Amino acid sequence: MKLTKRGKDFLTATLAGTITASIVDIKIVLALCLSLIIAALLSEIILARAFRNSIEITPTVSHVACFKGEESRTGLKICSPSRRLVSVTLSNVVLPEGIEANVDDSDTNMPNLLIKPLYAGRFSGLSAQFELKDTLGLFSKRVELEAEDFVIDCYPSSLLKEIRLARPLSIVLGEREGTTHGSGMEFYSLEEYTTGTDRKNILWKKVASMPDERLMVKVRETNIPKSLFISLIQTVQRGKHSIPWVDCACEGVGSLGKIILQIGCDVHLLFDSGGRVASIKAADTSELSEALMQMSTARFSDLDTASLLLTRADICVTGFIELQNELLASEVARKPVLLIGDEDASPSNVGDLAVIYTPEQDLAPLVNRVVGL
Amino acid sequence: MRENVIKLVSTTGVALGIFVVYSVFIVRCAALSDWSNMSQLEELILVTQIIRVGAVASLGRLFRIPPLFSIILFSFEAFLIPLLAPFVILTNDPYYAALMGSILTTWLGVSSILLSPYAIYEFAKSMMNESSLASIMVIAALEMGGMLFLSGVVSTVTGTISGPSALGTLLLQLGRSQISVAGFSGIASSDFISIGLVVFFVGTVCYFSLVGFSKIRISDRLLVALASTVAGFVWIFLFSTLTTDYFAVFTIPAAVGITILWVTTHVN
Repeated sequence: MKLTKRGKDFLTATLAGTITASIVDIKIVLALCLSLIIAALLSEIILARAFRNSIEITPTVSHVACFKGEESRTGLKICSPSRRLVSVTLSNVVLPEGIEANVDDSDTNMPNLLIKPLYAGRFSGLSAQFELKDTLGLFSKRVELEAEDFVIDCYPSSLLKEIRLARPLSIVLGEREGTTHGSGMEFYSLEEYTTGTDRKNILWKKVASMPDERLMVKVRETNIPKSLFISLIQTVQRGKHSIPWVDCACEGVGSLGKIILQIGCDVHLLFDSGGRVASIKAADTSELSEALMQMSTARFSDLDTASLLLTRADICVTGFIELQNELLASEVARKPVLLIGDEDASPSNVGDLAVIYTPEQDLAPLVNRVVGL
Repeated sequence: MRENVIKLVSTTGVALGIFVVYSVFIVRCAALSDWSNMSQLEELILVTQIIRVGAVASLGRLFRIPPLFSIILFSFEAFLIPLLAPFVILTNDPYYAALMGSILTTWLGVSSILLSPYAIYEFAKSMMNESSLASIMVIAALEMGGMLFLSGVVSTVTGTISGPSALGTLLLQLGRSQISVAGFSGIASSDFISIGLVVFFVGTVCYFSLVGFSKIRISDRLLVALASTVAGFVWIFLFSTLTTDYFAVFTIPAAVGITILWVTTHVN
């Protein structure tokens, strides 16, 4: 417990008053000083008792969701049984690294927390420092409280980007109609024969019924896979670079996911969830957002789990550091890969199907390598 | 806004309390005084002092007058006294010695009447502007002590006080004996003085409890102050039955309380 500036002045005043009044014998001032000292003692006891009683903070919204760089606001409800006699002021809020926080304490009963995430991903926990002052404002005490169940979901900006995508020519084998012309089994449309068209597709019966001499051919529909699997492979601790790396991974996977959803496939995000492979399905953008947040909390994998993730992946997302392991690099090189850059790391082998992620990078060709020709 | 209202009300209480004690002095003084046969010197000092106080009070509202300037202006006569000392030594004329005495006693008498309300006004002004509680407490103690002394001195007089010089002589004689015996308090006691003391006490407690901290409701802060006052008076009442030594009743417990507060806030 510390004396406030006012508290120091108050004690000095009572001491000076006591000395002055004792010298010149002014009993009323002596009685006054004695009462003021008792008031200070009483006030200190109230503060000490309040400190022992539990003080809690409850965010009005325990789960905040916003896009990267956007400011979001949540109230912090301060619960204290001694609130009437002890002032509780929020002095500082500490959020996980990568999130800017400001406190708007114009409402002392429920200060507002302004959150601005700088990186995409799921962040949890909130630590708040409070300053407790006694009834007369003479003493202060600092208390630190934590709200561990407070979660901030920061969606990557790539989910907001509009993707203009030409539907790809797809492979024959697929579980779903691609709604474009392709090489599937289903009828899509009739078109006039050109020199590049396969002659076996000419519909001779239709040609016979045509009034002119045009040759009509049957165009078949595309077939696309029902789902595409994106695996996130992390095998090393990145320390302070972890948050920016996960941010880039979320942005990249967000872009890939949007492209895949746009061509009509579902997205499955695969990642290490504490020694086992977690698979989160997303059939639309909101499900993709939630899946990305879960993916951002992925654990570091051992080589066995990384290998398993790689086997199940249509597209693999990993970093330069991971590819410094030659064994892993040679396996990854066989798959379409989205590479997230790492400072001071040079991968041994990235293969021909790798794309290094930058925010400006068009990832449609990478998806086409999986579903198209 | 609310802070200023609290400050204004409690400051008015403190100033009013001191002024009530002063009014006991001035009423008693007016009843006993016969200033029909004032000397020219007394008239001169009285009139010029009225002009000086009026000028400083009115100009003080327009300009910032340095405190040292006011002190020199109000104590001008006191500075003349040392200048007359060489004349006493060189000429050995008793006129100069008598003049020195007359200037001192007249100045003292006039100042006690005219400067006291001005000092209360200035103190109230400083309470409104001053942020240091320590200086307010010391000045309040000295102001109240001074007024109690003046009231006490005139309450012991039964005869006529003929002019400001006589009042000054009385203050010098009785003041010296009273302070040397027991201090300022306990000299005078009347209903008016009791009212003044109570108003002063309440005003100061309110000022110290309410001014400068606004996070807690006024009623709750007043509750703590009231509880402490009651506890303080219970202590004084109980302990006074055991001993009349004010040092044991007031000073020692106050010193112990300050020590406890200091230790608990500085240990760890």
